[in-house]
Amino acid sequence: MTARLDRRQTLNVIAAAALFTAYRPRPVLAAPPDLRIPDLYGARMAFSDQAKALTGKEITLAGFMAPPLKPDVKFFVLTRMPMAICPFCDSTADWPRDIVLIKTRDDIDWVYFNVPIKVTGVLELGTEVDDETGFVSEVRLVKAEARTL
Amino acid sequence: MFNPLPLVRAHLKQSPVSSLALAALIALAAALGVAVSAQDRALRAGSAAAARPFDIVVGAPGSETQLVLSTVFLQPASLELMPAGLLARLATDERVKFAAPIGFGDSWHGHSIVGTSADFIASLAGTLPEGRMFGHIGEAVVGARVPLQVGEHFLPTHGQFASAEAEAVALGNDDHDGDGHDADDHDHEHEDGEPAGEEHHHHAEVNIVGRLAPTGGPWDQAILVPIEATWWVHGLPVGHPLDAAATDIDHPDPDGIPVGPPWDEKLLSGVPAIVVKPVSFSAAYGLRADYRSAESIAVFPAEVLVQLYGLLGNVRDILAGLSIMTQALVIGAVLVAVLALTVRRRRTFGVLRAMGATRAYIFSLIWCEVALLVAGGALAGLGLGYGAAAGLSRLVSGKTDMAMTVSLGLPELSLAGIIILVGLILATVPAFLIYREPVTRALRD
Repeated sequence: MTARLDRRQTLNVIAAAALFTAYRPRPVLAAPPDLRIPDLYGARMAFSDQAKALTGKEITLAGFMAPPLKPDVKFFVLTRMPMAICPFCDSTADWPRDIVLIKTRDDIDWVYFNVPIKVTGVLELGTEVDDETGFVSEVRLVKAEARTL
Repeated sequence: MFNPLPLVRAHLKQSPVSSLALAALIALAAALGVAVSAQDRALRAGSAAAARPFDIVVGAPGSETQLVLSTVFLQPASLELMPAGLLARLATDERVKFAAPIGFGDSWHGHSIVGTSADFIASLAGTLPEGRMFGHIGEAVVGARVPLQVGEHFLPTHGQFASAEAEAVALGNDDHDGDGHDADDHDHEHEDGEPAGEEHHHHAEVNIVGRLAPTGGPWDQAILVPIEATWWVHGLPVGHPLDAAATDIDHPDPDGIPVGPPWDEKLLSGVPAIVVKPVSFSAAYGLRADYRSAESIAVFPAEVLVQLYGLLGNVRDILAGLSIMTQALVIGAVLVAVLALTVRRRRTFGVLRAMGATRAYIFSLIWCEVALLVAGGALAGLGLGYGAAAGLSRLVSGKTDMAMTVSLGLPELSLAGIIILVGLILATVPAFLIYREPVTRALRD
């Protein structure tokens, strides 16, 4: 009798341990509002009212991952259009003022420039100097997570 | 229930060779996985750190990978020169914090002599812990691991040039006074004559005036001179107007020529690479787009590195897959061996049962033994894998001059954890097969 209980207990403990390591708690939230990068801007590259209202809140932005500026970092740049690699296009005329700096929670899985992605994170507006690179950014999504569509 | 551990210990002591051999098998299999994963991370971290001071690299049209390898890792390669005006255009672009020319080509005993500007050196290694920045042509600062002292002087060889010049370098090193000997030495060199076929003025001696803080990258092995010096020894325009002393036909003296920006666009010469520090994220991407044209390419070293990481990642995944299969095979083999060894001990277990040991006791006895072997093996494997990765890193560091720090992180610890967990679960198999055996049958054999 003792033996049976013992084995079962052992197995239970092992199973519980396995489950515990596999489980990562994840808070359930209402879906954040879905935006595109042009929605953040009003006239003359000023921030839109919608963007101002959503500052400090979690939003989802669609766009494309720009080529990596630094390897092994937790940020990347989100662009409205894929960074031109087509030699016949000249789409860089008004590019790349409207970019968003994405600071991710986890390490980045780099995807190719022309794969559409969605990023969810907390919107920050205003000039900020990045500690690591010394670069200035205007719009950021922080604590962000990216996924390919 | 009684404590099975004394008997476990007694048995492991009784057959140390087979126990150690089984644990060693597991250790080796675990070490393979740990080493692959730790090494991969060390290589990424090392190369990312080496590339940190290089935000954008601009070069002549050609291979982006070659440009990055040559600039960031100082791998020798023949790069084309860019049109001369490009440097001045970049240096005055309002999106640029600084644009520093990088001129390779010359070397001293395998140490690259790189022409550049003080801006880049400051961003590469911060302030100089020893000596000062170069002030004119004929002065150099050295990387942290260059075996030349401040105050010494040396004679650059062009590329991998003749040994006659190498001897002259040795002679030069004996002279430690390090000041006020320039003119004399110049004349001396002229009398000795240059090696036949030498067209350029590569005879100019260079004084070491400063040493950089260690960066952990390949540039620790480099000797840095003003870019004007690189142009000067090749008889090219140096980006600044020349004074009377510099244009003297018999003994041209370049000491009066200023070094560093601003350069006169009309007097500039071409360079193989320019390192650009942009002011903002959008400037970085704007510059990258604008300077990809018929006359230049602009690339973030990270682009090339991430591609390399992708390749490395594939190799790592294959190796990791192989190592997981190895681990599965080894754990399986160990279990079979344990089973075979345990069957030979049936009599012992029979006697234990006859003496009143419960089945649970026999079960826990066998389980503990196998668990100890697996856990001990996996932990030893962690250490062994760490050692292997550290050894491999030292080898790669020696070849690339890239500092690599191997560490055991979550992936390696969880790998060992999984091996232990699987071992603990599978250890129930022999325990289960043996503990049910009736006492009578065990004792009969």
